[in-house]
Amino acid sequence: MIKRYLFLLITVILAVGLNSCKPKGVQSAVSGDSAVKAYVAPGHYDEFYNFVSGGFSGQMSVYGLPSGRLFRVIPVFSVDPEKGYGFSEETKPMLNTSHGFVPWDDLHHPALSVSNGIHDGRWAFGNANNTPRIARIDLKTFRTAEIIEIPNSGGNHSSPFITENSEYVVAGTRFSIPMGDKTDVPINTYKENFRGTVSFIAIDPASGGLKIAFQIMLPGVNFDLARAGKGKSHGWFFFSCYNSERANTLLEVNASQKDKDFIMAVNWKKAEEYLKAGKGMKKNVRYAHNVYSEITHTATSTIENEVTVLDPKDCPDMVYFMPCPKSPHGCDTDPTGEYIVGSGKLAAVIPVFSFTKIQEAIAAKTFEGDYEGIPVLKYDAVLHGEVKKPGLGPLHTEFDDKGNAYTSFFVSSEIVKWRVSDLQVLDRVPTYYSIGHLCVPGGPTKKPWGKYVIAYNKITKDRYLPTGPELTQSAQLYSIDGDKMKLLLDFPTIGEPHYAEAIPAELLTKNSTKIYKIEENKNSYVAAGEKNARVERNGNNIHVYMTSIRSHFTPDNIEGVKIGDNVYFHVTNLEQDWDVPHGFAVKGANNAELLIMPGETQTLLWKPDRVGVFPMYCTDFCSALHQEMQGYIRISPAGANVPLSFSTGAKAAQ
Amino acid sequence: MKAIYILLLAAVFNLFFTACNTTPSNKEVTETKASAEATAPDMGQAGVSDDVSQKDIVKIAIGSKDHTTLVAALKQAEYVNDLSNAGPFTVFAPTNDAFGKLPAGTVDNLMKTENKATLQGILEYHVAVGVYRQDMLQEGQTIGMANGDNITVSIKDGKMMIIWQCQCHCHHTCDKWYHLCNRSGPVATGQIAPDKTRRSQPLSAHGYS
Repeated sequence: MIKRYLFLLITVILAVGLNSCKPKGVQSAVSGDSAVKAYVAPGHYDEFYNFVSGGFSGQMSVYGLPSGRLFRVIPVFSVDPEKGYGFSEETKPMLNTSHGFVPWDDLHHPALSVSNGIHDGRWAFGNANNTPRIARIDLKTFRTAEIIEIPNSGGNHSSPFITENSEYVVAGTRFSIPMGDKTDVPINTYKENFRGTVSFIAIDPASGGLKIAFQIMLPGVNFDLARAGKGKSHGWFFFSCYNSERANTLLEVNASQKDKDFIMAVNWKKAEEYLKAGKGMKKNVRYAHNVYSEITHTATSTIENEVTVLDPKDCPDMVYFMPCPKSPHGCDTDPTGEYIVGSGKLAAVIPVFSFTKIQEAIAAKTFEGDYEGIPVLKYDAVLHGEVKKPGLGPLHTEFDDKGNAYTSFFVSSEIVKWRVSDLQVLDRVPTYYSIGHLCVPGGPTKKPWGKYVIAYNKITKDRYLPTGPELTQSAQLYSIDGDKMKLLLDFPTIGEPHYAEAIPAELLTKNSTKIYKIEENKNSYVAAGEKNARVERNGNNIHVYMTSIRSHFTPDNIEGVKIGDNVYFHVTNLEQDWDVPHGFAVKGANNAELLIMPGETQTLLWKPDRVGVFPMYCTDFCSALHQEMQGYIRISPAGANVPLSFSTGAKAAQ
Repeated sequence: MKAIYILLLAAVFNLFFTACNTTPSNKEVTETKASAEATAPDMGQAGVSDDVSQKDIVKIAIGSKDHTTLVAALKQAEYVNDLSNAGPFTVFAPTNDAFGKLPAGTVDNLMKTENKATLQGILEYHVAVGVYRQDMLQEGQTIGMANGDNITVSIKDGKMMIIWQCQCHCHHTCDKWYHLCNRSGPVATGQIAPDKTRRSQPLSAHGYS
């Protein structure tokens, strides 16, 4: 009876408390000046751009900090009908893969380009977790400029982390898989037949162009996350690995058997030497490499057939394993490059490894054995120390410019601040709820910009007005100026945010493209002026060279098109004025709209399915006479004698 | 077990009493945060910093030595922001020469504060929302102007005239068409070319033809 009474009482208190007190409770969690610190006055700019992964949306979103305002969703790995991305003929090749056109993916981690370990504001990279790829986004245009598929990978999670001078982004496979000639094997022969790889994708320092430099063939573990060394550890890369049990089923149980899994240390400078010495093996593979040209406003997709693979058996001193407690997830290097923080999802401590000690242990061969032929360093020999009892479920760590680390804890739903030098916990704040990644501006670089830490949460529940079963994602902004972290702002994000990076706004704003110059437009179907607008027939293909300018299309009356024709609307936006895009849509098209930036040409393919006259119109409110920006295309039966004709502004028939 | 429940109960009370008893701060937001860069929030679209795009009508007029009176009038009438808008506009833009042919003192009088509404009306009668090129117009066609009145297109002997029909002193015709464009590449008609005989000159921010 007492139990029941207490239970009832608690239930009542909870219900009353939640209903009556939540708003005050939320307010009490923030201090009086929080609103001022997150407030950006109308017409003023944010201090930072925040590049946030879009998770299962496949895109990358751009927010301002400290306001939390959403500025843009950059389409990367998923089609975006709003922008015509993946629907226009020009952008379709961006989503080509060795599997053909793939309209969706799962983008987990952005990586911003760095020079000498400091943000340089040139490119953002993102990974496709499902069909393994890496994308490069041009930060002048905030558009996806390149996508390269990763062969010999089962899922590109451990990616696209970047080296100190943007020499490489990496791609470690989450899933080990059977590779090469023997891929049709029983799943339960995992230990025998499944292998993992990490790939190093070289970045052209001038153009940003991507090329798979080499892959390293590895035992069949799961590669999770990674960070490059920097400063003294430049030339090394660290990858967290789980499932050293090499289970192929019920990993929830079977991959959690061992006390320790690994962080893998790769000496990539050494790998370069082996590559140069011809130790690499050419492997026959298939992968797509897609590049978007800002000159032709067109993407091209090329299928490549070869990668070079290094095997640690032939390349001693290139790869080492370090034991790390309980299925490590985050693997983060501090701004000095001396410390590598592993975060075991199931661990009660945060181990911090010392690069100096790693080098000493390698020199002294302080190994506790080997794992599939790869030396395993002794845990105690490479350990700087452990953060004791920091919280439950450590995941990721970022750093400020004062020697402090900030680690996210999923289970205890908090950020814990601790000092790297003596591993003392300094502060902790709750997050709402169950944080995954976190971000300090410049946190993964040699020069953290500090000032804020942002929590990207996995659970939203009651943080915002409810919207049925599916809720927006939740992020919180905290100031880290003082000794104590202070909650400033709660803002929704598109989902699901995983990792994010933030960069001072002034590194990007000065380079931001306003328009494409029409004189430089080399699209094969450009109509650089209304005099060049026309309609041509080539067999069953109708090419409409159309122009758009405030506030009409040329041509806007088209006849002589027949059932069975493929109609290509090549629409050139003649505007040369910032923020005057035009859109284009035609009734009944089994397609998206086009959204055409000033000076750009984009193409919509339409296969008319019935006879009639079909309206077409500008979809982006461009001007006071936007609603007048429309036209008609007449579709006649196959075999009709209607001659091909087109016009704009022609007088009505008498 | 009982001890655990009581503890939990205590924790719940503590949490919610704390929450309920905490008075939200009443501190007023009295200062705005200075950000690294700022636009000019009070200036409207005329204040947008943009050296890349083609110039809008206002910028073209400001750059023209023949339209200094018009620019001064636009400023006095507070039409600079409106005409920096996406439009599109065709401005039948009186030149300094045209203003100079008005009776002495007319312009000075219009520039007085008490005559601002009159000035606005006159300027609006020279602004059409839309792009109008000669090749788009036909005999007898009317064009609705921003002040609500119409102008009429007249084509005689292949020569196009625009007829203003208001009751005020600005009643006049225009038979010269110039499209002021600053972009490179083909344009509909010529660049600005001083012509002492013209009265008005259409400034159009439309693009290629």
